[in-house]
Amino acid sequence: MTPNIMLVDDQPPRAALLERALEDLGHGVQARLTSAAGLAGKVRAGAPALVLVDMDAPDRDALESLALDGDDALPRPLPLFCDDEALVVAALRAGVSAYVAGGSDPAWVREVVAVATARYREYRALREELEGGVADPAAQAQIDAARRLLMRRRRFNEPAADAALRRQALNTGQPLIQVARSLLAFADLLKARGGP
Amino acid sequence: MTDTAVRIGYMPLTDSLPLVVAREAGYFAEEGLDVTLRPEWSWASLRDRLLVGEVEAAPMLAPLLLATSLGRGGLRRSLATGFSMGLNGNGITVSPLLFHGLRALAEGPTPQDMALALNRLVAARAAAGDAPLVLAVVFPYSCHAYQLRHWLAVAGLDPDRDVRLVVLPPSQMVDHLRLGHIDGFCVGEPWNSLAAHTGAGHCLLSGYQVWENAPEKVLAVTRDWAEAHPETHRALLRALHRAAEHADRHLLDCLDLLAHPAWLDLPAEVLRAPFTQRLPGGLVGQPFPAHHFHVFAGFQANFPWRSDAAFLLGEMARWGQGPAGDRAALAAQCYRPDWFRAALDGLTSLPAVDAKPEQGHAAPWQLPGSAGPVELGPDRCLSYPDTEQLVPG
Repeated sequence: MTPNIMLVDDQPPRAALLERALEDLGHGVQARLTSAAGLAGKVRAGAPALVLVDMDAPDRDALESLALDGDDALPRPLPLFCDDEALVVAALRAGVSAYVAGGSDPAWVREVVAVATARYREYRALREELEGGVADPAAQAQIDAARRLLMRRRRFNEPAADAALRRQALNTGQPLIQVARSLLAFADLLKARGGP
Repeated sequence: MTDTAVRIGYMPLTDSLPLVVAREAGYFAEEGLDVTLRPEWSWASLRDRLLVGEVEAAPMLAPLLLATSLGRGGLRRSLATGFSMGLNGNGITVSPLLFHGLRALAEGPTPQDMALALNRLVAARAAAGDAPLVLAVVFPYSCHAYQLRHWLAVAGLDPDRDVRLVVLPPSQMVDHLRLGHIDGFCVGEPWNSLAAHTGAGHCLLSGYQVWENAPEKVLAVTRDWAEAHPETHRALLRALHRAAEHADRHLLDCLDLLAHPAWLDLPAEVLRAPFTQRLPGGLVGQPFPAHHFHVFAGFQANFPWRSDAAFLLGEMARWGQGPAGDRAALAAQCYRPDWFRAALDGLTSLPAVDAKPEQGHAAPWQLPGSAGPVELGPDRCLSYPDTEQLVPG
């Protein structure tokens, strides 16, 4: 039986990316929660082998308190489970914390935590790019062109067009420039076929 | 990072006031510090950011610092403190339903009377086959948890058997109380006042009634950082001590500042309530005296007493949280009065000893200091009532 993973993340696109990445590697995701409310009860009921939770979720303290129950089947903070300090630090720096049930396979835990760390890090880089603007002027010109296209075709105002581009970037896990390029390429394709 | 840049993580609570005053009144700047204040939403994330070096310092639940140094949750790193953030600030608040239940059973207004009423109420619920009361704290390693547990013990109850203790984020306590998910909580201000203000609950006891002038949070740093940046660390302690003195002197004005959307974003009257006799307490709604709540600098509130560490390690042991091993050594490793002395040398009278000799003072008392005697506050713990009145558990 594959051990079960519980994902707790209030940013659904990030959780979806992570779930896909884990399932591609054959790891079963038991539950994806967008809110950490009542987390301790859900963890008791669902008995996951591993809980991956946004480091900033307020309900983490309830998870921490489970470690004091003395029940080895309840997940405990990752540092109590493994000595791999580099793994723990990398995960926390990326913004994800992990809780592990006793008796889990250490190699499996390491692999899953590494995948989560990589996805969180990627997602953060993406967000920073979206919030910080794009350094390359050529790329910025393409993003501007994609925005104008949306404003013209979909009658969006500028903030709405921006929001649509960003949403698409976060939902697909692609950099903004990638989203802009595919949008422009698709428009060219339509034009070549005599579309609108 | 330059040597004067310091990132401080904090939980937005009334007791974060000295940080806000140090920023807004310029005490950080006067010490040449470039401080970033970073709000956190769980004690676990505050601890983790300190441990991985994303912040250099953070006001932390004093027992959490000790538990972390024992390797009880986060990465095992030596945390230490040279500065206590202040005294008091907690309260025990219950739902209107539990409040009325206790009022019907209490024979008098004292904390012991309320404890006896709670004992009877819990026994009656058990006899009727009702679910146990659910009481919340913000973290298992906290003074809130130990104050609540002590009051339950005074009521003749076993906190791990006769009630259910749960952990909730402080910012959600009031909502959970209103929704009936919990019957009460022990938490720091402003959440008791907010519960009273919104009608979600009644504040039964101040933390002061359980432990007078209790330690609460300490400025946690990693020992590695403090040793690598002694000058910056000392400047930080001086700025915070001066800000704490400022907060004691101009408390209401400072609370107005803290109420601002940039900080706690709550009505100023809620933050002011416990200090202006507007927080009704106990079963008859007699407002708490202001001295039951925060002391930011007075009574040597900022001195990191080794005896506080020893007392809290004793509480951890009392409630089955360990710790095994040499408690005095751990206290000496985690609480660093020498850091406080080095920072404040020549600026204020410093106590001649690192540990308070005893508890149990009913009135302010004095200890010899480097420049004249220093004053300390009353420090009794709530005593047990006449045990014959307790229903056997």
